[in-house]
Amino acid sequence: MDLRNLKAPPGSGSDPPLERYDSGGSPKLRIHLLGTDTMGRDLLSRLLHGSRISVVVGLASVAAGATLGLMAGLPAGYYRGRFDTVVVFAMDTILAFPAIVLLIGVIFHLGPTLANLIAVIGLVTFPGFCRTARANTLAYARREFVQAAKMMGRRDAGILIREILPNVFMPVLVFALLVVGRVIVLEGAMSFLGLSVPPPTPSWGGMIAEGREVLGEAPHVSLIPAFVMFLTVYSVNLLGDGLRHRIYRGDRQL
Amino acid sequence: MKSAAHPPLLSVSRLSVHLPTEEGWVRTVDGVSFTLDHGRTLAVVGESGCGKSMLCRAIPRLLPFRARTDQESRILFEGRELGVMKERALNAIRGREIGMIFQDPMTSLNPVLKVGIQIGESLEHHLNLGRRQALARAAKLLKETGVDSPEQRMSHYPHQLSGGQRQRAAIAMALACAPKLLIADEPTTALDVTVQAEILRLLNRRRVQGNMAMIFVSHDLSVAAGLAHEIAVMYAGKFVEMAPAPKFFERARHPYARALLDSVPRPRDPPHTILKEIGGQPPSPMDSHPGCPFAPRCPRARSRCPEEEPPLKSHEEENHQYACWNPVPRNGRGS
Amino acid sequence: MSEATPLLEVLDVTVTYDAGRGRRVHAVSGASFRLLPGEALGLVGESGCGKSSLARAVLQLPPPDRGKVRFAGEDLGRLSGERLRRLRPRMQMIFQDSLASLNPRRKVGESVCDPLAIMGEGDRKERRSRAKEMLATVGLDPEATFHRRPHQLSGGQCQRACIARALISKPELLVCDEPVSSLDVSVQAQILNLLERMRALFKLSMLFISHDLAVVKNVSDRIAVMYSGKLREIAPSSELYGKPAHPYTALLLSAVTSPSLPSFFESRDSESAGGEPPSLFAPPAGCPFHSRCPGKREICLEAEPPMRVVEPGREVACHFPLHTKKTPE
Repeated sequence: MDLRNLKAPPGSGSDPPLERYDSGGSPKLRIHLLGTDTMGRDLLSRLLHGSRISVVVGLASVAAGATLGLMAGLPAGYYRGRFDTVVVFAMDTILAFPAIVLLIGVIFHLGPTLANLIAVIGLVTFPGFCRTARANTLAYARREFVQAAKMMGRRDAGILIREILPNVFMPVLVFALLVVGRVIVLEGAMSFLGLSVPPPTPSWGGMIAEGREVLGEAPHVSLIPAFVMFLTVYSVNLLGDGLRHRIYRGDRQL
Repeated sequence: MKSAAHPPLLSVSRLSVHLPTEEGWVRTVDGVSFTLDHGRTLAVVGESGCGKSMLCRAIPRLLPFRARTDQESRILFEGRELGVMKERALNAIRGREIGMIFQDPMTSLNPVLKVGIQIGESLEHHLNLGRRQALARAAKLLKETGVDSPEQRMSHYPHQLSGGQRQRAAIAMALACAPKLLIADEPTTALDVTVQAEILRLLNRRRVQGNMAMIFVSHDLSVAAGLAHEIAVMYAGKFVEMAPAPKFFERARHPYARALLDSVPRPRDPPHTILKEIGGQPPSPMDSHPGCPFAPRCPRARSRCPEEEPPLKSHEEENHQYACWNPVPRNGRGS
Repeated sequence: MSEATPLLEVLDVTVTYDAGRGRRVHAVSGASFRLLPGEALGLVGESGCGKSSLARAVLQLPPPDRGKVRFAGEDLGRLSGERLRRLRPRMQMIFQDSLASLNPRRKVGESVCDPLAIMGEGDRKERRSRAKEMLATVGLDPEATFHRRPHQLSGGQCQRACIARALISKPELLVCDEPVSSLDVSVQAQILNLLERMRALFKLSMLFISHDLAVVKNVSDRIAVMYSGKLREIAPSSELYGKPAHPYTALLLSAVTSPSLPSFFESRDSESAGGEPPSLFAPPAGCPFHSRCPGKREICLEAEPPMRVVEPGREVACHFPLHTKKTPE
């Protein structure tokens, strides 16, 4: 059911990655399992180090977006009224911008650092999380167990945190896993465009970009990172699907 | 209830329905047999999980995709075996000779089509009426079911009607081609008491007018009381008692049937009367064990009961059948 | 009836909802009744008559638009948020959908502990043991049930758990909103008997809402009949059944069949008052039932009949009530 992507833990190998040039005069034998890139650097170790960027950006920005989304979506769905209107307006505004365009614009302006990247991607994922959180809150807030909680004397904050949040958390988590996949691709696009963390730090998108020139003669330079990215996103999606089956089976036994 | 001259309209013999579930095959209907004559009403009474809905769907062969019936199950409608008919022939019968009403009219009515068109559909299809004729007849049918301003209602969508009106529209649809057999699966359960009374009256009127036979499924014994010639009590997929209605209410012999009758609050009892309970809960189709299915909850169970399943058969009286080794005595009450 | 202080006094309560586009639904209009300590009052009516809205308004969830609700002498509408919260353990409610009344993500036993936890009573161990006690009292196996999730219980078991939760704080008033309507007949009897035992054990006052007259009669000392948002008749149970004063009550009774009564087709056609309740958006003038009432006169279209005491302990809102001393002229 769940495919685990076998990844070396981030930080394997040396840090920062050493450039190994096939400089003349060095008699040591190097074994390149996946080949080398245009500058003779070992693809495998670059992939492993590049995964760090993808993973960090993926998890951190999704965590940021999800937290913001919950913080906005839960009260919006529960209280409705003016706060809800404002939240929905914010969601719609951000959604109006195509993600890439927004990212390019902001990063270009603020500079391509890891922190900026995480912040902006997080912002881009916010509407999706907010909508998921809000929609689920709307559904659960109407159920009798919330009324029962009020009847027992729980205050609103308690209801949001102890009654509604545990129920909304699961759908949001499932959604988050799907978003991680998309964010990895997004980061890949940004580094392809050269707007992610700057070289020499390896990143998958950057590696794909570098291989563009030699696509004809040495396609592996671009294709291998692309394939690795595909595998990662695919397995994350499967993870999300599997999780969804597990929790909704429980819910459906009525 | 056989009349000497005619063969019965419907003859069901050893009907069993199996459904695949995660835990394996489950028998939701288990060897049910009965006959029904023209113009007679059979009420099938039982609680959730007893298989009554599957029984309703099995007769016109509207079972879920993966359900299976047994080799020896036979459903004879006007002498024709429905089990071996091709889909085309069955479609000619469904809607035309066999009508069906479901519990939730929102599922039998298409939410995106106007009500009038839906009622007219079967008229157009089965009786080959033109669109205008069909709609005119549909308006008449709707009026007969007691819907107010029927012409207006014809162009409404299901969600614009109240629960009672929707069910009446569903009834109009089922009765459009004057079927010989109407299968009604809890048609009034979701409706208010006063609306329910009207709908039951309507069904009875139509039955009399068209000599229509009816299978009426309900969990509510009092509703069955007002409508049925014959009552069958269903438990764990089997008929456990079958008798003419007056006899049933007077002298139900099966402990479960008797317990059902006794557990309903009676209007003449004073407030705070403790009701007769049946311990435990209705069995799920998943648990099957040898012997009588009611044995675990039965106050009259003897040692034979969990070991050997009692057959459904007549005992002292020809038309009163029950399946019990230790039935409620004829004169006594309860246990 | 002794003139004891009522536990609950509902005075002229009105509940409206916003239905969009400036319209308001008048779910309840001017309802008044009282409930004595230890008494069970049934509230009966068909769908949309406002009985659930009235019950929720009594518990201030949300408070009614107009009118007063007095519980144990305190005007609930006047209480501060915190004081009202402190009063809550004394009035509890159980609902029709017992499965939806329990948080699907929590263990059943923990949900039963909740009322104590919220009010800060006892420590975790004490709460758990009291919850298990309560589970046993309502007929559930405490060890097995405590750690289950709601979807693992049957309908009857869920409702028992909800009853356990409602009673763990030892309330004085229990409001039951159609608690057995979605249960099988055999389970219904179990739950009704359980409620009866609990009523005696905890000396509860009950407000029991149902559309099923027979069930309501089994449970209640007095019954209030509601139609189109308004109370129409209040009477002791047996008298309501035997001699209904309001034509709508008579209609309800005639529509109820019972295996012990003869088939109703023989005697019923005269009582067919087909039709539906009037719109709750703009309640018409006069008596809301007049369009379906076989006994209506001119005055019924013009003036709405107020609730009047026609006999000791009986109130009716009708210009020409049946079976009482005030007969039609």
